[in-house]
Amino acid sequence: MESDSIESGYVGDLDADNEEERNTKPMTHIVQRPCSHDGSFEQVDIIPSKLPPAGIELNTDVLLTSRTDPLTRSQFQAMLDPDGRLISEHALRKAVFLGGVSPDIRKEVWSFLFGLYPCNSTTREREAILIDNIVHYHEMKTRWKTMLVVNSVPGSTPIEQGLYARYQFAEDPGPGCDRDNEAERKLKERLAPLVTGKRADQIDFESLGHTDLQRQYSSSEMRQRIDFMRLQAQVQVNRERVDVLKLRSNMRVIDKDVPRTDRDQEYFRGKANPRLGQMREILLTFVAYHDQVGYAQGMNDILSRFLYVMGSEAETYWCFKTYMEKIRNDFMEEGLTRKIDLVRMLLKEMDPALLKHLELIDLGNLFFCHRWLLLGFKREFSYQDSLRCFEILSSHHLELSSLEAERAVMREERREFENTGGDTRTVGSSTTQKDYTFEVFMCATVLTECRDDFFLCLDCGQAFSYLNSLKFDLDSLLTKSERMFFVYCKKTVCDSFQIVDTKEDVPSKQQPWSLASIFR
Amino acid sequence: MTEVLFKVIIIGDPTVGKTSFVQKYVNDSFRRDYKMTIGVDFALKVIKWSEKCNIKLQLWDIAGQERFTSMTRVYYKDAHACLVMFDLTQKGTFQNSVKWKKDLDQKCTLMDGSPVPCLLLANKCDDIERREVTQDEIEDMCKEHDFLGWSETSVKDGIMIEESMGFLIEEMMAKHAELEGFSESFQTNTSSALKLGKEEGGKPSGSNCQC
Repeated sequence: MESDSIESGYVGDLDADNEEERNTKPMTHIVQRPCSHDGSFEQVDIIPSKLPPAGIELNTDVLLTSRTDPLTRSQFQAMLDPDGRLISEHALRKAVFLGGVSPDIRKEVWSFLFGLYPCNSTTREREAILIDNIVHYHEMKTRWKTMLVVNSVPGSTPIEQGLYARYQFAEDPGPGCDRDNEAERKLKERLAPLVTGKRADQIDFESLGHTDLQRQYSSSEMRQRIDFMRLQAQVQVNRERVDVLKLRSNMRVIDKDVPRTDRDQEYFRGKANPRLGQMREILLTFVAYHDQVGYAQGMNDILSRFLYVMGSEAETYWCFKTYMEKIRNDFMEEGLTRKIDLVRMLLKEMDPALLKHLELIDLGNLFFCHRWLLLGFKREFSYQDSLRCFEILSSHHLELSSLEAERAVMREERREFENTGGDTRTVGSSTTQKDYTFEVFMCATVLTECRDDFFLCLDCGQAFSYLNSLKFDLDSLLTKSERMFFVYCKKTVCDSFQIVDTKEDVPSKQQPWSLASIFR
Repeated sequence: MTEVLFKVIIIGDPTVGKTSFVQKYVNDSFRRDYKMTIGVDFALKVIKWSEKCNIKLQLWDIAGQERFTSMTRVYYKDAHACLVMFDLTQKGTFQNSVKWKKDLDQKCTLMDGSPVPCLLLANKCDDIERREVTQDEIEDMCKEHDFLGWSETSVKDGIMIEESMGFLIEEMMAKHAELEGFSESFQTNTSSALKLGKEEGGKPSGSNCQC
């Protein structure tokens, strides 16, 4: 569908000068080119022989998309009413999108963001939900543990039964010496009620990360309440089927991945770090009750962020579970392929020449976006930045189905009307591809940002070396992705007008449009 | 000065030590806390083979996990050689080596139609206590499934890393010479390396894959 001129166009340009330029210029410059609403994309220089000075364009950008500092505690508190209800979910999501969250309130904000608590719940209601969550989680764990024990060869050790993994012990017991190990003996004692078929009769709030609740638990009123909750939870949990065979097969992979999850972070460092055991139990609980999804590598990376922020095991579980249920398709081959395909479709709209080039060097499927999309760019940033990136992506403030997008599209439609003398047309955002999530824009932005370097990659290997060496700056990437988002909104409007205007030149379309216009 | 480009893929079950192997070979470093590979990792090493010839070695470290197979198998394409790795302390990974080999042969051959040369690596040989696979078993599998050969390795202690790769490179060079008649395009020299498209020399060749 493309003309040959493009190919010959850039092949000819690949001379020594460009090679030199590639080595000297920063990777993140902006290529100025008209963002075309029509076919003129094809006429644009594929490798612009002269790049505009990068700094100026960048500066204008920053002005346009006022990103903010992370949301502070006092700002957050001002968003809550006296009973602790969130006044406006939209305002919170917007604030998170624009600046992320200050680490000291991250846990509270994430509780809303990831649906641990409803936004309209009061502080008191949340306390009740928390206890219910802990109890329920405890019962879920007890269930699969019991199943493991019941389905094991009599006389096997807790490790053989699958209740624990070796990496949870400071001293590696080694094969065959399980039975004599002291740590294991202690475990066995603790697990005695499980083994004999009786349930452990106390919830260990402390080990679940809620020392404060442990104290409350001793009051008789509280104990009664919890006992009742447990009964209810048991009824619910026992209704679920646990496939022990599947659980064991998932366990084998989980036990390979847990000990290699973010161990370079202080939080997860060191032998027998208790976080490892927590991650293991959360993942096992998840797969025990979601055997259709099962465990796939990468879930450990997702979990690590939740555990780091939430701290307690039960809360982490519920956040993780809610999130996984939402994105489960990304962990299925079909779902992820589809998502990558969205990046490809967006790139085709925004920079078809680049896509064409990537196709030439056998990267047209864009499978290299796999990791970015699966983990929300977790591996591409420092751990702290990856948390911020994760909350920003999860704010879902700027999606094509969001209010912001509707507004941008409407603004563009108004402008277009004015410029064309107010002809009445049937326009609408029907042409927008609403499945383009913000992360899809982020992927496409990375690609267009690096387009010049990609053009210098003449085979798949070179492109991969280049991709390996890529370093992103989170804020600049976000700003540029946002820019592309609005460019896309504008483009869809222009396109829909274009369908109607087939012939005449419309004045507004002749000028390289400016960003400022869409930001009012 | 001529330059030869070889693409080597490394496959096998998760946690057998593929990433560690590549990192050790390319950067001479070993860590215990590598994160698992998602999709594929890529490394490049340039070897001065002789006065007149440099070898550019691409190492494609392919994720061992099962779930996203269609997305990782595309990286088999145009491979000149392959390392199938298993972990001597996990028998299951040894048995699965056959699956990996078959999968490769099914999806990829060299351009003359012959199977991609494949070396079987038995990693973690330093851990004698936990060892679960005997040399005889490996030898048998190697013969039965047409591996080029096999070697025990210990990435941790740096045992048989260079030697295995050296062996594989010799093999690729031999095949390269043999295929040269088959395709003149195989060899690229540095000055003409920056060409694209249908011009000979740009496209990595030497193998012929359907994936």
